[in-house]
Amino acid sequence: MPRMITYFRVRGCGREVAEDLSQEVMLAAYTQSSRLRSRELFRPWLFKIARNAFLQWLRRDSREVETVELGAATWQPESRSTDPLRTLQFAQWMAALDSEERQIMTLRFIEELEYHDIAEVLGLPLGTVQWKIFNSKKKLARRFGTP
Amino acid sequence: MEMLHGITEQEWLEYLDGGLDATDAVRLQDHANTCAECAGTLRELSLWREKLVEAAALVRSAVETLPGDVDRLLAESIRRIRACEPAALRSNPRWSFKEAVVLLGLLVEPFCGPGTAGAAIRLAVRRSTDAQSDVPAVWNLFVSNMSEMISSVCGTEAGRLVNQVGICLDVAQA
Repeated sequence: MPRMITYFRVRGCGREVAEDLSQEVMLAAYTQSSRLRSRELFRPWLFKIARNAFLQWLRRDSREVETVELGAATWQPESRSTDPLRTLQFAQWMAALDSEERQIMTLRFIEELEYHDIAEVLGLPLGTVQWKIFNSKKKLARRFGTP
Repeated sequence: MEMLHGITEQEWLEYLDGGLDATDAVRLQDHANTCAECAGTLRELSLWREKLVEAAALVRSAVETLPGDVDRLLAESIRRIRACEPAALRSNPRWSFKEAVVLLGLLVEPFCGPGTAGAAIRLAVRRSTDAQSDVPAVWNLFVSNMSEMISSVCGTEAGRLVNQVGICLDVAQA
């Protein structure tokens, strides 16, 4: 449950919305549990439900879907002046990546998913996930340097 | 996968994550010792991996959920789950010990598979019934044992769910 709340909070949801969406995920996980193919897939399956819940919330809220999943706009200081997340270094780095890279890097480092779990959540080949992570780090090094 | 000097990005990532076997790890390290370009790539990837791990930990701590809030939210989730159950279940909230065991087994089976769920139930029943005679007390001990075992197999969140659902069931004397 705390990981679910974190998932929604780092994507720009306020605390109340994050709590509400987390409960939606728990309910959906319970009602859809027969669709879980195997125990090993529980974590990515749960994050897939969370991702769908987040996208539905964006649509309900008429937000810009193009910038979902840690989109650059989400992290701009003027867009959420009271959000402590905006001041964090991680947010600034993510703003330098494209949407798909942000999704992958956030699932890897914030949600701490393994490469194959990320591939399952996003429906991407494993090699693509690894290649994107490699390239994202290179991109960050070029943009922000390597002391 | 792009390859530079016979080494793919996947191999560099797995090397840094400790996922390569010893032979391949030595091959990559030997190469990095003699190739300035690859040594630079390795240093860059390693450094950014550390920086991202540290920065991500700060993000998580900034949105940390307090234990009291977790309990409140889990209780609310269970209330929602119960509210969407068939009316027949809601109108008959008192459970016999056997019924409650079966229900909890059905809850955990999708997460850990029928084999593990069955084994956990058998072990938890054995541990619980040895020590207590009062049904509600046996049930509480059973839930505690199940939660502990499911935590170790499926993670603490699944174990916590077992505990929260278990304590909500009104298990009565037969």
